[in-house]
Amino acid sequence: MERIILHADMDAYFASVEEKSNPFLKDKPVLVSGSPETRTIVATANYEARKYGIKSGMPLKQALKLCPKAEIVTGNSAKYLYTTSRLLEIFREFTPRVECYSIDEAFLDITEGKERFGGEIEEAKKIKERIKTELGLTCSAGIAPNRLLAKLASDSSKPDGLTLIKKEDVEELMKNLPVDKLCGIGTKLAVKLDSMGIYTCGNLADYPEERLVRVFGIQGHVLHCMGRGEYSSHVNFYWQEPEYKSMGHSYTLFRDTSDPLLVQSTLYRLCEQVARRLRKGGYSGRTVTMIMRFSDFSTFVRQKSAQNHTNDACDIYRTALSIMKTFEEEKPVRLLGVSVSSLVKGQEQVPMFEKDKKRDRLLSVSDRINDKFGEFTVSSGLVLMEKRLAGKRSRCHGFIMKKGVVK
Amino acid sequence: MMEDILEQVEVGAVFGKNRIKPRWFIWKNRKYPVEKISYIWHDTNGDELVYYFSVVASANLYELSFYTRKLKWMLDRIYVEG
Repeated sequence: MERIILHADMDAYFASVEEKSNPFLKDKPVLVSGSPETRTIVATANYEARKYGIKSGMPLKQALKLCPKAEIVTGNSAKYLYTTSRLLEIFREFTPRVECYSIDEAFLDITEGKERFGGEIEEAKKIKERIKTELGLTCSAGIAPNRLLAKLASDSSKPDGLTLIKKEDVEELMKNLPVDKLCGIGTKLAVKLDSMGIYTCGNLADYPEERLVRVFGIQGHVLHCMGRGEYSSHVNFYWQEPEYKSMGHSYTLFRDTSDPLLVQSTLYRLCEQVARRLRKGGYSGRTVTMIMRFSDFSTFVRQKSAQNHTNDACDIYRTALSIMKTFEEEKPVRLLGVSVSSLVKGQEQVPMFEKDKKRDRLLSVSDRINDKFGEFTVSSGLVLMEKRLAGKRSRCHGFIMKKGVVK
Repeated sequence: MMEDILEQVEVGAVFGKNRIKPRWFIWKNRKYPVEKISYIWHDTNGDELVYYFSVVASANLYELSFYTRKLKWMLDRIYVEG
C-alpha cells in the first residue's frame, strides 16, 4: 500500500521558542547561540536576523559583524526539549506512527487517518493549527509518498509552508532538481557527484547503478534510488525505541590549547558523558572513535576496537588515549570528540575478579548519586582538573550552560 | 540580554488543575505583580522536578523557577534591554 508521509519542520525553532518566551524580542533580530563568553556559533537565527545574511552554524562574532544590534540569547536545551515533547504529544493525537528525526523535525505516517480530516492537506492544516494555537509556533509541512520527498517538500516553502508532492509528479520534479537539494547529499558528496558529471537528480537516476556502487559501495544503490525519488516510507510507532548504532560527544575548547592536562581532562569528561549515556540506555560498546580538530581546522578521525564491550569511562578513556598518542600533530587542539560504536544492548559482562566487582559497585553507586543530584555531582578528579584548568568557562558542557545549582 | 540573578524569592502562586500560576513575587523588598506568563517548561535537577516560568512584570521579563522538592522559588534571570 502506498504510504503518505508528512514531514514537520519547525521554523527557526530555538529562536521562535525564545521569541515566544520573551515578548520583548518581538520584531528584533535574535541569535540563539552558546554562551557569548565562549567561542560559539549561531545555533538558530530568527527570520529578522537572516535578512542580514546570518545563517545557522556561523561563528557568533561573524554574525555580530553583520548585525551588531542583534539580540543574543544563550540556548536553553531543557526549554527546547520540553517544547519538542509537547509537539510530539500533538503529533501522536493524529497518528501513532511518529518518528522524531531531530529536536525540531518529525516524520508522521498519516496514511490511515487522513480521511477523518478530509484528506492529507486538511490533516496537515489541522496539525499546523494545533501547534500555532497551543505553542504559538509555526512549522513547515511537506507531504509525499516517502521520507526523502516529504523532507524535500517541507524545505521548499519555509516559513509556515505546506507542500504536497504527488506520486505522479515525482519524475518531472526530479529531472532538473540539483542533487544537493536532497537530504543526505552534503557538500562533499555533491562535489564528488559533480566531478562525475552528475548535477541533477535526473543525471543521478540515469547514471549506471553498477558504476555508482563501484564508487560509493552500498551507498551507490541508495543514491541511484534517491535520484529517482525512491526512498523508505517506513515510520516507526512512537513507542518503538530507536536503535542506536553509536553514542558520542564532542566539545570545542574555549581556547586552542597545547596543554596536555587540559586536553586529557576534557577527553576524560567526554568519555564519562558517553559512558553515562551508554549505561542509562543499557548499552555497551567495543569500538572507540576519536576526533581531534587542530587550530588550523585540520581534522583527524581514528578508531580502535577493544577486545571486550564496555560502558566504563575509564576503559573508553584508555582506548581514546591510545588513539590520541597516534596523532603526530603538535598543533594546538581546538575540538575533541569521542564516540563508541559496535554497540550491544543488555549484555552485561559479569565481573570475575574482586577489583572488577568493586569497580562495578562504584559505577552503580556513582550513577545513583548523579541520577539523584545531577550530572557530575560525583566524578573523577580529572573532571575537576578540567574545571580548574579551564576556569569558569568549563561549566559550559556543550550547548548549554547549566544554571546555578540550588542544593 | 538576560542577566543572571539566581536569588531566592518569595512568590504568591495559584496551584490549579495541572498548572502552577505565579501571581506575584517579592524581590529586594519590592512586590512585582505578574502581568503575563509567557512560557512555562520543566526540567530536572538530579531527580528533582523544576518548573520554569518566563513572566512579564513591571514592563520587564523575569525567569522564575520552582523546585518541587525543596518548595523553593528562585529568580533566575532578568531581561535587560540593549
